[in-house]
Amino acid sequence: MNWRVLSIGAVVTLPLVALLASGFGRDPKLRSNALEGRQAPAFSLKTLSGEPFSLASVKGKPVVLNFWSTWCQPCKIEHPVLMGAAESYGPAGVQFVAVLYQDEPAKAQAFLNRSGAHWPTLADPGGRTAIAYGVAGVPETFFIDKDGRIVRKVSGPVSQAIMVTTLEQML
Amino acid sequence: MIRAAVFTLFLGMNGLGFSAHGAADNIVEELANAQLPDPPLEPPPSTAIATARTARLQKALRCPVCQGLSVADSPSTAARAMGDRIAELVQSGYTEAQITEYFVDRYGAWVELEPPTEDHGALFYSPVIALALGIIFIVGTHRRRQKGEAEAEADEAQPNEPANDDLHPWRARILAELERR
Amino acid sequence: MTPELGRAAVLIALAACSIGAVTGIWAGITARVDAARWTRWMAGLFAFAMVAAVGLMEFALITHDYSVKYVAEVGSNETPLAFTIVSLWSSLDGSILLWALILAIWAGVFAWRLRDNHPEHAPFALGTILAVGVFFTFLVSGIANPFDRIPEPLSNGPGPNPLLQNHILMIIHPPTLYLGYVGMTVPFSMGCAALMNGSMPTGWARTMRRWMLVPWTCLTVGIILGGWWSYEVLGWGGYWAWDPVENASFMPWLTATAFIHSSMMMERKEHLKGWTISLVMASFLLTLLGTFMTRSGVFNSVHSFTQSPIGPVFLGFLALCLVFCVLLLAARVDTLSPPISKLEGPWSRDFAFLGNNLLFAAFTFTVLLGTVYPLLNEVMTDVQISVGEPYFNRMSVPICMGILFLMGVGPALPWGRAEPGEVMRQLSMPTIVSVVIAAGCVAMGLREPIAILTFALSGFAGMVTLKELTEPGRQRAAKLGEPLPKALLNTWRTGHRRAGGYVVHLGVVFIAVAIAASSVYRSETEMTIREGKAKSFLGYDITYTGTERVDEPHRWSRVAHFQVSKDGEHIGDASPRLNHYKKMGQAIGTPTVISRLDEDLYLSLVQVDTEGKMASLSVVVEPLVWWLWFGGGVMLLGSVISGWPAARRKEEEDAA
Repeated sequence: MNWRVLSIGAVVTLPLVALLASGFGRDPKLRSNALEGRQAPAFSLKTLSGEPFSLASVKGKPVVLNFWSTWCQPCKIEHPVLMGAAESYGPAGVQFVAVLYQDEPAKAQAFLNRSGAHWPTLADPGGRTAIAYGVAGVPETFFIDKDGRIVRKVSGPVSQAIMVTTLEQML
Repeated sequence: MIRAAVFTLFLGMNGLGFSAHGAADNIVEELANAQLPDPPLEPPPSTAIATARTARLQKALRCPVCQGLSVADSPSTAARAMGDRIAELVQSGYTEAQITEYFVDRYGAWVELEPPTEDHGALFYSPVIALALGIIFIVGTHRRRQKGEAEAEADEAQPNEPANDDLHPWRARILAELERR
Repeated sequence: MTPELGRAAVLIALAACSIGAVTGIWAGITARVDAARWTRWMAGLFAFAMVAAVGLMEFALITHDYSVKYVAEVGSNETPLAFTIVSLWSSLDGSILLWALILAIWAGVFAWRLRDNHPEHAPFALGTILAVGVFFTFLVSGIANPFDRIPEPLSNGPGPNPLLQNHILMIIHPPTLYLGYVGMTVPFSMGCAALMNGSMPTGWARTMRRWMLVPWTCLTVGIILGGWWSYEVLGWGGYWAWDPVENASFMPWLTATAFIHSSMMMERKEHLKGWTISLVMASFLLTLLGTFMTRSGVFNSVHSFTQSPIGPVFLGFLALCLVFCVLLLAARVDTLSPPISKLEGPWSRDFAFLGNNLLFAAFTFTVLLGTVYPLLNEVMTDVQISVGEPYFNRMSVPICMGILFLMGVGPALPWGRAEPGEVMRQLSMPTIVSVVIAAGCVAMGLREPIAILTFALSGFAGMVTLKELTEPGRQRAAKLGEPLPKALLNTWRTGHRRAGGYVVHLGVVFIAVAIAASSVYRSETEMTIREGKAKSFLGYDITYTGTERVDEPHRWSRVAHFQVSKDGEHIGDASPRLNHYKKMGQAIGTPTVISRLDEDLYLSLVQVDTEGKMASLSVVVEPLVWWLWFGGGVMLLGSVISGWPAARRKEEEDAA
């Protein structure tokens, strides 16, 4: 037994295996929750029907800000959750806002007409607002509290459970 | 087929989408800029400087929806939007450091395609150290062997060089090589 | 029936591997001829069973038999036949099936070719190959079983990934790459056999080198085809992005290249035996590591929702192989006989080879470190970071310069001891050439040091290589009075191994120049053109003539037509397109490349408005890209010359 070879081999290989093993169970999807706990970036956009909407105009209300597009399948899975939450928490003062991400307004309007959602859906020319929020894919949802602070960011579809617990905390 | 993994990545790219170069709404621009941490440090740069800065930043920042491609390289609409935003920020006089910070604040550290050298010395210096150790090892072994051989050769007389003295060394080498094959 | 028959074939392959692995090692230990024969039969059975299994899978794919799980995953009635056939490797389970098939073919060919030779080593090696086969057939028969029966099959499927259906290169690139990737198992097993037997005779070292040369060539061609595919399909005008997927194929290539060089030292001087065996082991282990990295979901940052159950099993196998290699090497490396001759000092080819190996090892380490570093950082600090192109370029440029330099200096150095003065005389001409090249570059207005240095070093290396290729012929012509062309051909034929190696070096020179030129002098822009109008970029006038819609069963496309002229002269038509696949929301572009000897014009369609009146284009001009593919061809040619079997047989007869 050549002990030098053995020890060099062990030093090279064991940490590598340990590292790869610890990679399991981690979600390699890039997260961008850098904004959590910070003031929500302001924006002033127009809805698909052309009316102006700014974050400042709903100050004092908790806001659920959802980035989505019609070409994203998970967004369609998420849609009923948003519909349900808007129905039950809208009257309680929660403002639901959607921002269209890299999509054609006409397609989005057609989709919304079919689903019957009635929260403001904003066009985002040049994707500026999405960049200001560090959106790295859709859907992404930001929960903004009454003081305009981002309390939580969810990448991927929001589940019913997360929606409810987060909104209860914010109210 | 190893590339099959790469295919999936590009599913999210090349979106139809609207034009990312739409005319900038002035109000929107002001409001978005108001979100920046600091005001521009410098007056708007000249075109040549701005172009070079934009190109450097677009190469150094990562397209958020792709795997490992820079904003400059990615054909996706998201990368185009980000590239345009970088160009705008450069135009308004922000420094490269400020713009990088702007994106890191929003997306996280991974938006930089290369991590900062000062925080990740191991990444940058360990290959150099490994190479240096390799050189030291080879040279050390050679020295040790030479020393051992010099002692051995003191007893024996001849080195085992082929006796092709009459030939030009260049020819001798090639002929010897051909023979050995 | 197909699911059951396919499963049966895979189980037969599993049984053949299991039996063969045991009999092979046993035959090696006891030197029993009958056990060795059994092992060869098992390798044959393995090959036969895997060919049958893949044949059944192809049959199921072509006949759209959606009761087979894999067909239900990747098949569709609308996919064209050629892409249906190649959808065998469009998804995870199918690609592991292909892996097992290629391994089986390697095992079968190895068993047949070495049936009468190396009785002390061959059974060990074949046993090891079959032991690796046990793992892959186990995967195919168990957790990655593509033959699972779907109880209530549908009448159509989703079809393979659209990017797979986009280009003809997708038909040849993956199998070529896999032939090389999987083929690393063979030299690995031969290295293990040398350790198990406790000897590395020159004959075995030669055979091992030969068996490395073939997979190495496949891997080289596969990597270059992969770059070509990226270039032709992905639409950003690049061919290499240091993506984990690319690094996974590059790392074994680096260690295999190091092996090809160090094995020459081993053959000639019986030096570096342990190190050379470590290199084949590393090549094999890195193929496993690479597959794990790209398949397990641990590294893929986008679309990682599908965490594969194969990941942990693969990691287990990788760990097992690592432990096996380290233990085997530590236990047996001292049984190999010591070197017969000593290494020469710094002015010798010995040292150039050591330097080459050191640089390749450092290169491999750098690529590995850069690839796993984001994971390391996240595990340690929980912060996600990226290590991308800027890092790899920064680190690899100096290493590549060093390799290029050694490629020039090494062949000019003698194996034996040399006087520094003599070496200087040998190198004077190439040095002058490289200085002239550098001066010419500066005179032409080039100012980028990386590019100029690369061109100068390439000129240097090219010069030395050409001299090494022609010098023996000239010597022979002078000595025997033969005409020069005949003398050259004669020396190339008898010394084809050497000549082929230098042709490979010439290919590398082409590639180095192409990479430096195309990356440093790349220019790009974006333009929007109205129908009937033209825009210019760097002397190219691009006229937009309209967009048409093309419908195919599996997709519809918008094809924009452009006429391109340079300096007033029409050089071609371009039709970049955006393809919309059924069942997929987003469009995937196909760029058009107008390739010329000096530079490529690369057009990809960004967007066309609904009426087709305005088209947005991304335009890239890259010099000398064509040299890259040409250099790849030269490397292939050199490898074929070097390993040509007919010449080899003749040579062995001559020696006898």
